[in-house]
Amino acid sequence: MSETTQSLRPPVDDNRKAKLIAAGGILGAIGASTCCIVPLILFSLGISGAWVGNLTALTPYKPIFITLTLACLAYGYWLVYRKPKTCAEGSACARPLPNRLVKTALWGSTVLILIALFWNWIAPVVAPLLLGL
Amino acid sequence: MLKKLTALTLTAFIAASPLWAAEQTVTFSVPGMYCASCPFIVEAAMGDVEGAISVDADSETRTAKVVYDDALATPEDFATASAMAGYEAEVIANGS
Repeated sequence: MSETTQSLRPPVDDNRKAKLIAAGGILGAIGASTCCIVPLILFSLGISGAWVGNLTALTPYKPIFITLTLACLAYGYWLVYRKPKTCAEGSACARPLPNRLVKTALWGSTVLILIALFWNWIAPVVAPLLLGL
Repeated sequence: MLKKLTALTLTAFIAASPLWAAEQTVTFSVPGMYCASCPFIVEAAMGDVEGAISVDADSETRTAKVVYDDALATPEDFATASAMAGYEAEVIANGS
């Protein structure tokens, strides 16, 4: 009896974990892009105000957001793609763990964090185009 | 001595001040401009001010150098424009 509950548990736990990790990755990626990417996009859309200064004030925390995101992504990808299946095929626990939502979140935050990471090189190219300078 | 000094100061003053509306250069300190895309936003915001001739913002020194027509704009106009875009700016050097 105890064996069945144990073998049933991991996928459920992993699923929840994967969702949490994916959410963490997305939030971290958004945090990392708030200071720099978001103001540019808002400004190019004509949305601006003194409050944008609050967004740019997050710049010192960018490394923290980036680290958090990369950690979440590494763990997330491992959970989704690499983790060895602990139970036999066809048994209840072998049901595919990740859903499309988690994968989309992982890939989405990967793209976002890459842009944030290489922003120093991307910005000089993208900003003049967006702002018509 | 005092007279000489006064005369000298006066001459310097007259030489430095424009006798007619002309291009002026003013340098702002923009402390919030520390990301790669920030100077572009500052340039765009300040460049939208009527009378702006050229704006050169640098994220490394966090300064913005503005050349403007003093018949159309004042340094405060640029500081306000920058602040309205989220980047507080303060005049650090003013001269032609």
